[in-house]
Amino acid sequence: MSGTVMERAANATPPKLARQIKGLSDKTIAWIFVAPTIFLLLAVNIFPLIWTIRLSFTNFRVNRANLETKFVGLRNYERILTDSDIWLTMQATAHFLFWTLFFQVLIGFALAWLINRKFKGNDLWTTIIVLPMMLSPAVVGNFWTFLYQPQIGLFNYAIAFLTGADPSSFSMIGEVSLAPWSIVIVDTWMWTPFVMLICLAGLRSIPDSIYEAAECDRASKWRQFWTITVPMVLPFLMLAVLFRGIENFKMFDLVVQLTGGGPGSTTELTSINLKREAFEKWRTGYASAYAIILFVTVFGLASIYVKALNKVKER
Amino acid sequence: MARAVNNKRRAVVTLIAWAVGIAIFFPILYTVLTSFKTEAEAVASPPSFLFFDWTLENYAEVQERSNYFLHFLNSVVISLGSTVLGLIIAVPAAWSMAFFPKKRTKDILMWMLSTKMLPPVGVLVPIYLLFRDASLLDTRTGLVIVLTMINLPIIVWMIFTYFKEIPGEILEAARMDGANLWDEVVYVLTPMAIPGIASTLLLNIILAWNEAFWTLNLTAAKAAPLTAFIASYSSPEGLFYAKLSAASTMAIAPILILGWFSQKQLVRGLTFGAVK
Repeated sequence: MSGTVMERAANATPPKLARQIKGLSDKTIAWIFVAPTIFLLLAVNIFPLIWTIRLSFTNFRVNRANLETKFVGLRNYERILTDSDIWLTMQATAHFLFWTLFFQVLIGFALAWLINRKFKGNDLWTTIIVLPMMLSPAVVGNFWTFLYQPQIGLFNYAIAFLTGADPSSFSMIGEVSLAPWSIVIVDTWMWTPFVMLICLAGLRSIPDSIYEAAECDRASKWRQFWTITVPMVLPFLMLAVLFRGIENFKMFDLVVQLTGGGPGSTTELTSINLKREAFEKWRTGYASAYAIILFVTVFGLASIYVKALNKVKER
Repeated sequence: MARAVNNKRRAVVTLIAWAVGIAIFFPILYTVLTSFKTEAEAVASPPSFLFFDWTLENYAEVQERSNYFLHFLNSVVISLGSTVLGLIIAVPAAWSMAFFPKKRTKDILMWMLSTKMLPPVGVLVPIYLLFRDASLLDTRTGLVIVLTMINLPIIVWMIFTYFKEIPGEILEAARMDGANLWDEVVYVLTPMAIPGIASTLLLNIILAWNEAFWTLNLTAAKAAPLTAFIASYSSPEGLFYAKLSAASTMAIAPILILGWFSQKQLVRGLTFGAVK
């Protein structure tokens, strides 16, 4: 019964329309499916971005919206680039970025290379080492303030145990010279497992036969390491660095909870500094220009980096 | 002989691996332990590890002081809501980009990812003003919207990579057998993509659960999730580290439990599909 209805419906449909619907199922449907994502990203990311760009050329202050907004041209940009305080936060960010990536890559790769095979309790171990990155950075910052306390903190206690120094003789988040390292340590603790797991995936993707062939050619272990292991893992490692680099450039909640940017402004990374300019000093236009400068910097560095990554992949 | 060397090597590897594992795990364990101590014991030096008077008073006090369950519920609603909404939008997009690639598909993907490069503070002012005018400030709906948008590029990108791993020939074969679009998606694609979608789902729940910047800036009391709750414990006046530890434990426990029961998918998600 239903068969005849279907048949009749099929016959009733003009062939041209049927072809049109068929045509829809390929190209047009593909676009219809992508459209919502593109539209939403435009609405929530690009539209505010354009708004921010517009604000960056004005002296708008969000807490005095009634005041007349004046167009100031590139003055905001000029002032930011000549402000020595901002260069200090840039330096703090560079310090944080460089050392976190350095330690995470070094330790992550070294550990992955050492471990590079299944062992007893491999799955349980993997679950345990991913625990830190599952935690909220805000919470991590919060309980590390406790671990960093002089005298009673676990970190100080461990250092004292290892070096024999007095645990109350130093304060990781209280001293100007140590505070920049305190945030590096926490971030390294949190994200080294990520780099290590990605390296492990890279190492395990190298087929044994390549090493066996190298063995036949009498390549030394040292040479095998540099000509097989490193180049094969490099694309994985570079991807991990890209993710961590972008995230750490934007680093905010962990450091706010841990040090609040202090002591002084030694750990005031750019995002924290930007938040202060925008919501404590209420210089909205100025802060907008600042945000645009940061965006252009990250975007530029990331583009260059992705080009390099693609080259490495092609090899 | 060779076997003896091999065994020795394996023992060394196991030893190193577990030493690292314990070192990584210890700060978390110690925080959880401290949450069961009294305030006096929490600041004792040298610290005690197991032999102290276990107490639940910190938990009771934290709940009383800052209504943990309300924030917990907010976190659940916001992270689940934004994840489900994100998947509904992202799956069709990823599907069409993976199976009907265009010349510009790669550029579109890169562009989507590049929206993650802007420091969130940079667009806070416009979003804040928009939310104020739409009276979305301090509402769960508002946070679901923001977090969906924030994480959408990552969801699209991850599902795209998983879809890419599915050979196109299988879909062609299904089509040859007379499957239409609907059959193709429901009976062929979905079963094959489930592990990938599950990993993406978990990763996104965690990202949304942990997101602190937007939740702190767009909520006050009503819709604040656990990340905002924890921020109220940020500057301990006097000594209440046991309570700080209890609050931290309460904020991370749900995620740790979720992670424990979904290890494989979770590891895959957290490493963006690199670890299978």
